[in-house]
Amino acid sequence: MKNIRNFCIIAHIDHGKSTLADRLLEYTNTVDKRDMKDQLLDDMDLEKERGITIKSHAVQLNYKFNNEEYILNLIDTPGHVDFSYEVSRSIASCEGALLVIDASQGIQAQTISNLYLALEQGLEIIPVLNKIDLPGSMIEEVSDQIIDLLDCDPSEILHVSAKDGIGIDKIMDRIIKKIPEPKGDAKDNLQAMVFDSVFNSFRGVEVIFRIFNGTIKKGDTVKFVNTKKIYNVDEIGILKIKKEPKDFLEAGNVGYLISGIKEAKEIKVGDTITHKDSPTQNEVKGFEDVKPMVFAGIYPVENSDYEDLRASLEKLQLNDASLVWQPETSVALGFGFRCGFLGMLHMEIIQERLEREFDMTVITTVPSVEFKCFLTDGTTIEIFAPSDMPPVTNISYIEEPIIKAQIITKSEYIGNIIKLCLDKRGKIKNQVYLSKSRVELLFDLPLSEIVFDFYDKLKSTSRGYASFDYELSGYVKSKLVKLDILLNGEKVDALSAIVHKEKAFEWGKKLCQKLKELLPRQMFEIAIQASIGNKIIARETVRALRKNVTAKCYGGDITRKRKLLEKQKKGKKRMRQVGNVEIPQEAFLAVLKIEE
Amino acid sequence: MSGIYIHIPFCKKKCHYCDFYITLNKNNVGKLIEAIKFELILRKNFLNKNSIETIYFGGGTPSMISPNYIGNIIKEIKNNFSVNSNIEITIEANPDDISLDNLLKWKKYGINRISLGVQTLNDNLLNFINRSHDKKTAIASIKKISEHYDNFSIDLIYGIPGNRYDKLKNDIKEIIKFNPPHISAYNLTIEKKTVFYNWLKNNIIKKENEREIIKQFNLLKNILEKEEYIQYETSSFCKKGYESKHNSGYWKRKKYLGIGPSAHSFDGKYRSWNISDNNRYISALNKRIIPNTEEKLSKKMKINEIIMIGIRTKWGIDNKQLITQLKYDILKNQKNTIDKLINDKLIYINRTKIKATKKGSILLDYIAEKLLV
Ligand SMILES: Nc1nc2c(ncn2[C@@H]2O[C@H](COP(=O)(O)OP(=O)(O)OP(=O)(O)O)[C@@H](O)[C@H]2O)c(=O)[nH]1
Ligand SMILES: C[S@@+](CC[C@H](N)C(=O)[O-])C[C@H]1O[C@@H](n2cnc3c(N)ncnc32)[C@H](O)[C@@H]1O
Ligand code: SF4
Ligand SMILES: [Mg+2]
Repeated sequence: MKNIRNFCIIAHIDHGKSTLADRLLEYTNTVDKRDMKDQLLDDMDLEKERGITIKSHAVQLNYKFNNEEYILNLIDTPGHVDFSYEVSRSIASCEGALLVIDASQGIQAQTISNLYLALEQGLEIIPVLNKIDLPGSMIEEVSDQIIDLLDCDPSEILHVSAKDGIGIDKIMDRIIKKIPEPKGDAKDNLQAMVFDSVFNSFRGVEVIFRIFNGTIKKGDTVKFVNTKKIYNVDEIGILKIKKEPKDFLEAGNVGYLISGIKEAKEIKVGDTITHKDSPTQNEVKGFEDVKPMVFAGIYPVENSDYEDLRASLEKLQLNDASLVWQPETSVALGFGFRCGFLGMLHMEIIQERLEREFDMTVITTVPSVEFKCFLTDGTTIEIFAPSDMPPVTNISYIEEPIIKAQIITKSEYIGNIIKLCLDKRGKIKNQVYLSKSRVELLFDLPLSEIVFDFYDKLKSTSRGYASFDYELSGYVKSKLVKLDILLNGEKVDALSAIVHKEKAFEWGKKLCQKLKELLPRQMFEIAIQASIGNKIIARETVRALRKNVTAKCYGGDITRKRKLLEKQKKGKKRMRQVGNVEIPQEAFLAVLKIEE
Repeated sequence: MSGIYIHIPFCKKKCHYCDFYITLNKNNVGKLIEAIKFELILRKNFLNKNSIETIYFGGGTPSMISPNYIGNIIKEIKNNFSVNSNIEITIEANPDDISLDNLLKWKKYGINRISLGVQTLNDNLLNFINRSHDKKTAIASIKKISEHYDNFSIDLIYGIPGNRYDKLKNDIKEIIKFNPPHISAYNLTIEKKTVFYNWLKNNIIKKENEREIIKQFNLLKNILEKEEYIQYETSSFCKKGYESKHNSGYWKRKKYLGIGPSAHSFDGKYRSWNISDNNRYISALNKRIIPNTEEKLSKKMKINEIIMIGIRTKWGIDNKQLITQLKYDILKNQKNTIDKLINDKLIYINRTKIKATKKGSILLDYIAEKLLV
């Protein structure tokens, strides 16, 4: 155990965690030069294309230092707030963390939130000032920010370019010397924590874990404390780039386990693994069921694809346990599923994966959060979708989820951001100057307001100089109403939204206007109306399409015109017919873009 | 059986609706004609020794450069390509360039068809769209052309904001008196990067009301039909036997070689287009480089072209052609869409062909989009 080091790489989004992991893999010869790719650990297509990490990835490096062999278990973590629970479990599996800070960006919201997670677990923090090769890097200024934040000595900050491989040797040195060796007793009862799971279509679920105490052997019978499930260990091993089977693994190490588990949802990240016959008395603390934050309906474009969609969601859930869903029906859209997501990025990813990996064209409806509705008869129900909302006369009151939001920005944007948050029904809680020009703002905000176009607005109002982090803090009473949309007199339930009473009127108006832009003109006129209860509060009309011809189509026009028509056609691929009106996907998400 | 298009990118004034690649700077005319000749020689095998049936001088305003240049180019083509004996050679001309001298010289060099850009006979509107001629010049030029050329065409634009149904009616009546064998009538399109586009954005002009446009289009169709014109493409009308052979080539997907800046070419497999920049065009050709970009057509792109173009013509979308050339049976593969369009009375089927109905004839893009694969 003396020669094991367990550490994770944590940072704000895009500060260079995965690129740094690449360099460490290279430096330790874990990967052959010719097999090297950028962000090698981001192995999903979607991760590669978007250049973001969606899942934690663990890998083992071997390193010789002062003539001694060391085992380094590295965990690359995602930076996006949607996946912060996963980061917290990765952190809980380590003794140290590389805190990466982009020298051109400085300390950002997830830098701070992830740092606090690491400090809570008592991790040794190694500050890494990355991207020092960039012309826009502000080495002195950002170093000062780090010194303030960590209360550390300037010499402790490592200056690195993950891209150019500068300073990697110093990182290795620091990892070995600074990060404590794991504690624990290999002879004690087994106490290991699940921090990830990977679905493999041939081998089932691979459970990724860290052993704190005890020893796990091939053939053992183990128990997962929270799910109470019992399995036989068919295979265990260590996480080289290719998994390497072992006969046993001891306290301090990180490894994988295969035991014929078919579905990822059987495995809960944060759960404790122990032996069935000699269980540990100390389950690993901090286990939480991951809670979806955002809910939306997912429907097939063709009703006949419903069963295919179900099968696809089931398969997706095999490798993404944070996705939850249940069947739902909509008058407008027919049979579909109400899905719960960790956040808006997660929702986008699921939709995209359905499309790419399962070739499913789907319609996603207006996202909603979970409201609590207290009825006059004294019972309480949870509302995940506007259609769950009972008649007004049955409602005593409604509560909505509130978040603690932390925004870091430049001082010149404070005014704009405060205005935005107040518009979003937020309350400012605190304002702290991190340096002369950088401020941390703390707000209480309704989660439902974050779902509706908050990120885009924050970005534009701060010209990109604001980072945002949040956590759920509780529920408060709120005046909410259901806003309905009617097309040619028929209510389209999938376009309904739950909004605050004081905003409802304006929302209705803007939503009608937005829908007017988004609904393609058809062979007949379309009346768009917004209503609350039985009261119509806004109306717009999409005129019938009468003429649609390009005047000229000569030799030089053919390619351009073909591309234009193909593009228009593609835009309408995700279209649902409701009554006789064709509604494109964008229209279902119009509420998200209402003020553009 | 193929055509050559020559782009002459010069104009006296830029019309407010026009987004063609042109320049008002005439300093380079000589060099450009040289470059065009280089390109012709470099690409002499492009059409695979197919005989040339049509040549089309378009623009821009080919009528404003010296007819000798036109003659030179025609000569260069004849030297390098095998040219059909009853070749159609068209020149696009503006009314203010129609002099007896020009007409005779063009004829001498082989031009046998003139396409005249009249647009409208209303002086206020001509001024509004920034043309360099007036009604009087237009009438005089039509008269002169009709005296010396059997085959010519008049370009008209309808739907210009401010024009009215009855004024348009008078224009057409006046033009028909000269018995032009071909008329092209285009709905004004407000293209990006034009003065009109800017005016529209800044609320200086308003788009013409759709009903009015449809009225104008129907008027044109009715009058021309009565006068025994055949509408062989949505904007093209002709007396029997006077289809533009060159343009019909585009719609029947025959091969064509496009020479000059911004010109497009098609060899059956690839579509390509030259750079839209005189100077860069000239300097590339001086180095004997063809400054173009090409795109290989996939099966899907070919099908879509046939659909999108076919529906615009009186020949329709030919399923037999789709099946034999591309192994795609549109009537079978798109039965549902087709049934729906028939039900909406937008198309009908005549043997193996899908054609637009009268109602469909003003919704061609809507139909095409539905039928694309
Ligand atoms: N110039 C420069 N660019 C870097 C450096 N390190 C990373 N980058 C670039 O920064 C971008 C983000 O890098 P990643 O390694 O994907 O960042 P990440 O922190 O893993 O991002 P998430 O996983 O999405 O949170 C990529 O375009 C990298 O090429 C560096 O040292 N210098
Ligand atoms: C290639 S243009 C140039 C021919 C010649 N220079 C002229 O203007 O007469 C051929 C015809 O296209 C038509 N045209 C060009 N731009 C148009 C637009 N934006 N909308 C409608 N018709 C247009 C005009 O009728 C024009 O005569
Ligand atoms: S319409 Fe003809 S004359 Fe007018 S700018 Fe365009 S090419 Fe030149
Ligand atoms: Mg990453």
